[in-house]
Amino acid sequence: MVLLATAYERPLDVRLLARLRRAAELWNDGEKALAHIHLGHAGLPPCGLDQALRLFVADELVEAGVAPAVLMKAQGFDPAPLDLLKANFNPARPRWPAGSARDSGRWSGGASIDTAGVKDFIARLLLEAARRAAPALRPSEPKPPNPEVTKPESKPPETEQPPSIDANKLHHIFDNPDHSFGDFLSRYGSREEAFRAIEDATRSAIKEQKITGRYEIQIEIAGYKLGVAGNVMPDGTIKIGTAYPWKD
Amino acid sequence: MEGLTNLENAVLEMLVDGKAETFQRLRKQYLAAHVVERHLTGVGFWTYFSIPDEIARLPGNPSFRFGDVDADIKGLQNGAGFLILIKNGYIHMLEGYSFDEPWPDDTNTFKLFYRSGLHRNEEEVIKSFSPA
Repeated sequence: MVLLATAYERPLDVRLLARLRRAAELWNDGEKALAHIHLGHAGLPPCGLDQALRLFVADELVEAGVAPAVLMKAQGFDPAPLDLLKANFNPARPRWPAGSARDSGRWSGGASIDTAGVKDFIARLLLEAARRAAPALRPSEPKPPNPEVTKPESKPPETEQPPSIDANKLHHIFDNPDHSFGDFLSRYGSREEAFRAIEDATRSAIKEQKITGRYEIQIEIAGYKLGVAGNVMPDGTIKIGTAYPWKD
Repeated sequence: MEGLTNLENAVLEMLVDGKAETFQRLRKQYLAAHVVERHLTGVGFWTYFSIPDEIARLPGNPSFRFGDVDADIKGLQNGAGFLILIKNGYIHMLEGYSFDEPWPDDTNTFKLFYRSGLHRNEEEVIKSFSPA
């Protein structure tokens, strides 16, 4: 929470952590597409260069031993939400209603919120953003002794954004009336996320089975069996030609 | 086989070619098939067929897919693949797909081949039928 508050220069709703926690759990379970969906629904504001650097600094401070409450106070934020977390506050879990004897008002259920996991997850995501932004912030390298032979750097900064998915490919796979994906699509929320999940599972299967060239394989994602046909290119790139539900 | 493109004709010829009873029956269906709809997706196509009632279905009215025919097509650097869908014992749809390339407008220049090479192993193809 203190990392996010520092990154965004304002305290964020504590309920955001529950959503991020779920995303972290899914990420750790290998459900990356679902994790992205939960992250999307968390409504985390965009993380730009400034936010990434602020997060980096906050992380360094906490790692160095600065108490989160101190860091919150130092920025003029109310540290009370941190106390909620200490009290095992979980907005996804109801409280015992008033009049429930000694449990009145306490959080029901037993497990405490895994704030360490959430923190790690957020830190991983946002530190990655800081890493990407770092080249732009790094002080200029010393000029070479013979600058006139040095060509200006015209290459755009590298990004690790996944390539966009061809809309026609999504149409081909998901709009065919005989490719009734049904629940599989609703699980992923969007065709893009579903395609990414298919890509991930196909990549794993191809690696495991050491497939080269044209392929037609069965994959299983979260209990859904799918057929995928495509091509492993000579450079190892995996192309998906089509995919369809595999009904036993 | 009414309304098929040269590519569809050639692909189906190869897909239903075989001595096994299944292929013999599918071949009869193919010869009597006519196109009811073709949809170009931008990266491939779906072509739907109608088979006259007097043509026999496959025993047990099964539904499955298979596609061991691939193509080199002018305009597609990485070639194309195909799947035939058998629905309730009848040829229902032929699907053609590229590998991340726009489907060319003209598909009349092509070369087809079995994925297994020159000789098709019918038993292996039948084993590859995926339930639909």
